[in-house]
Amino acid sequence: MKINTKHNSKVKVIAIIVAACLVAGIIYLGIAFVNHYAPFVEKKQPIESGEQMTNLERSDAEKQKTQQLLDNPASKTENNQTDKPNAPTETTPSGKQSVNVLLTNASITNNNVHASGFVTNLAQEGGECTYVFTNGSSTITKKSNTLVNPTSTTCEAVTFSSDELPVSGTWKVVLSYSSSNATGTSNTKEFTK
Amino acid sequence: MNRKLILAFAFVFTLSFFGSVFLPPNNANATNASGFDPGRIIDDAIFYDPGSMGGPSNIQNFLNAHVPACDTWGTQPSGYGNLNNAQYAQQIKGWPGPPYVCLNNYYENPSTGETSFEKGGGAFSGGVSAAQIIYDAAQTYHINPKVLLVMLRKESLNLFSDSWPMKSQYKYAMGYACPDSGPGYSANCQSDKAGFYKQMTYAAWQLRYYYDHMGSYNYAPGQWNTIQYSPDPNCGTKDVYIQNYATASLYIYTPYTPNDAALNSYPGTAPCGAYGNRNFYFFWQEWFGSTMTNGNFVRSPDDATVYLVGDKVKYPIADTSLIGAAPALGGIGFVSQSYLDNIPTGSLLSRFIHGTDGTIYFYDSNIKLPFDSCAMVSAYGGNCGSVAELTQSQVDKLSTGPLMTKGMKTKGGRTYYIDGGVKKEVFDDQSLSAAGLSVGYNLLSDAAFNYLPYGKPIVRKDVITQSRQDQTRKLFTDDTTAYPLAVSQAVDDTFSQFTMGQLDNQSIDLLTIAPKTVNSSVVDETGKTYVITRDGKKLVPDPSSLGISPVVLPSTTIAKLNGTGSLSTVSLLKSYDNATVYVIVGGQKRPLVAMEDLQSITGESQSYIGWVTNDLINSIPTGNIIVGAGRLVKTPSNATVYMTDGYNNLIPMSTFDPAKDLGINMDIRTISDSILAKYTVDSSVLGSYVTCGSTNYIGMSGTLYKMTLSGGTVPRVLQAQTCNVLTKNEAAPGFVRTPDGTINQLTSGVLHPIGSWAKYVELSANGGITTGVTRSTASLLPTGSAIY
Repeated sequence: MKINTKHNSKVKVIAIIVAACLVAGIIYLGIAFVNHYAPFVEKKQPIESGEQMTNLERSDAEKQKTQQLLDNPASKTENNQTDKPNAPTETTPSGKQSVNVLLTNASITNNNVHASGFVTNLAQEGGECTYVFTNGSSTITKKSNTLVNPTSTTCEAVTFSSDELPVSGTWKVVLSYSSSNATGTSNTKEFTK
Repeated sequence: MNRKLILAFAFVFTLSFFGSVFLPPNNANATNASGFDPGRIIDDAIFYDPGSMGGPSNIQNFLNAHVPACDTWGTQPSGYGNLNNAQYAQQIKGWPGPPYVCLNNYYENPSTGETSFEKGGGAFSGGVSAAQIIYDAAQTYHINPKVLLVMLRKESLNLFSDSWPMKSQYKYAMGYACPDSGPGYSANCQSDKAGFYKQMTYAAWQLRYYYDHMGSYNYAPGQWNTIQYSPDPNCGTKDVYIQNYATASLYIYTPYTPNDAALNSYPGTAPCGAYGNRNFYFFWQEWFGSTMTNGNFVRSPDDATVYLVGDKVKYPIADTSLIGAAPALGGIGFVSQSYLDNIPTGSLLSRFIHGTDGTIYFYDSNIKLPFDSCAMVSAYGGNCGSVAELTQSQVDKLSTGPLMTKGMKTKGGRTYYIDGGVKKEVFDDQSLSAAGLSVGYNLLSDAAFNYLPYGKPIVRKDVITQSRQDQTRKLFTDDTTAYPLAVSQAVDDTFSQFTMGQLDNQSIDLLTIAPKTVNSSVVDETGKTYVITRDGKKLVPDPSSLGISPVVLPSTTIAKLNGTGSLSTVSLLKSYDNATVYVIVGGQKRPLVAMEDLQSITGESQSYIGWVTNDLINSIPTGNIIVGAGRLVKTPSNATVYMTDGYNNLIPMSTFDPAKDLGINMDIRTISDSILAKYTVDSSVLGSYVTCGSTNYIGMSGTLYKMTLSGGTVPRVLQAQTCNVLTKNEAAPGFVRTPDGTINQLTSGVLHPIGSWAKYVELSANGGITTGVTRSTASLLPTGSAIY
């Protein structure tokens, strides 16, 4: 009988690889279990309402962050989780930068029309906001000043009597912002009078 | 088996084993798992509580615990070759040299701007600690110092993680006034707002400014707000119903809401993730527990007064049912007294609330019921001008119920008609109709109307009310007068067809309560008197015999009582719990000793015995037992036999002959000496010649024959009751047989002996009855000439 030694050696190699993977995996699982690595990460239950405290122990997240800074001190002047908006990059034909404007609310409640919005990626004083309400050929325009936030610019909310809207039906609202060097127009919202 | 197949199997097994182990858990409900509520990141009662940490020393202790061990002089190894931190900073990064000041060692002079960095690394004269700066900012602008600490952690350049921070890391520590609005949209930080003191102070000021001017900003509570998921507008938006000022303020400060991936990846990052508000929430939980109070009702540890904090006004609560009436607003949470002191105090909380849309509601059972007019508010004792104003999100937590009406039913079974600030209990719908009113009803808890005083109840006539408190009953004969109704079986039986319902004593007390209780007898306006019996009302033929004082009721009411007919001519009464039958005579109740006497007493073949209340029985004086008239009695101690004459007299007998001829029942009843002593005993013995009314009779063989004897013989006058039981014949007999066997013709009261049977037959053929007499009776009749 002829033995195929070449084929048997291939089988041995594969078997050894599989066995090594299994052993490595088992070792990792043991370590992960002790140190709460995946898949043994502890899922904390939400804290009950009213459960107030002052914890004088540093959290795992704090310790990890400190360790990161020790490992990489160059990152100590960085905080990539402050939600800084992307700076406008596009330029309009007028030469102004195109900013992102978000209409956050447009509604009618208790016979009062209310609309609010802001420039999400610019904190600037001196600009002007314009709320435009349209229903067919009817248009109502409301201008408002700005309020500067840490990373954004609020267009002051406008509130007025729904009696100013000349017709009933669905009204569309758009907010635009304009300053000496920036301009932008928001999304559209609708409400029904 | 094919070796390739075995290898493939082993490979797939290995992959599937580890693959299954490392598969991520199901994240479909990830937001719930974290507990992050985008509309309620933190409650106002926490966010705006400046006293939550006590004094600055507690903040200092907190900083000491959370800031890592400080390498002030940069002597620790940097991990960059053999360089220590100071060497690494200066030689490699071109950063300043030591001292490096950690947050818990940081001091700053607010006037000069000098800091510990220029003053040797720690405290110095004129310097204010970071803890003090945080405390002062919190107190000045009424912001929780915990909020400032958490914002400092999320906005600063690692001040809570760095063991050797540089001054530049403090410069814009709160991310305030450093937007990218410079040329080319580079950072355009305002140097006049740089520095830890200014950053902390301006940030606190800004948060307070948001609170005070919320209506001007792009995010506001009590409405749906469109919020970007990320600074990148292409990541989309989410509509969030913001529930409170604190959450709206966080969104104005950092205008993004984290997506599920960002929440699940904490403390890491995720595609299209935003982290400011996420980190605020998680950092807070790590340090301070829940971001939410137990509810919208709050009190301080120092004062037991509970308030509902509405829209920037706190309303004290005097009635704890107001808390239970709105479980959706939560329970009672504890806040500092300084938080409460900073909120204006409104009037006592009532059941009236309104939100920012102006609609006024009545609230109870987690429901808010809108009023459609101030007149209706007034009907419920409210005033449109003094209604607690809640935030719209607080109002929206309550389910909306139907419009308020003046009709209200309660879960405890009460029905109210509410008007003029009073609640009038309604007996039933018919009562309301009778009052000319018609309303729809809502159903709420009884406690909802505790605050309203009672008004005169709305009750129709001829119904019975029962007190919920003590079960006493009242008979209503009209809408203003109530008669107390006694508790007895007879009353129950007589009034069983009257509708009965419950009222509160407070309602009943507003009515005119008649002084007399409807119990055992009533009389109408015409004087007809009725006793209340087991069989209903019974007309009393002779009310004076009872000696009672009945309650006067309208005849229309009496007509509705159960029962017909009347008592016997002589009233016979008994109580429910005693077998004794009483004969009511002469204003007394006299126990009847033998039912066989009834007929002789009443003269009726079927006598009616009324079962009446004990009260009635007890109200009538008790007399001697009653024996039927014309009965023979004796005592055990004496041989003398008497005949009862009427109900109070006894006539002694010397012989039974008169009794036999008068037709007296010859059974002798034995009575006690004491009972006998109550009778009047006649001095003369009984004879056969008697008078009933104005007619004289002579008794012969059990029948009284109308006859007046001559010769001065005086008849015995019998009582009417005795006469009633005797048989009378208005014609004298034609023939009388004397005890010696002689048959006599009786003519004008004289006996004429008949000489022969043949003659008797001859005479009797012309009519006339023949009767016998006893010897004593015969002796009363004179004898005339014989007839042959």
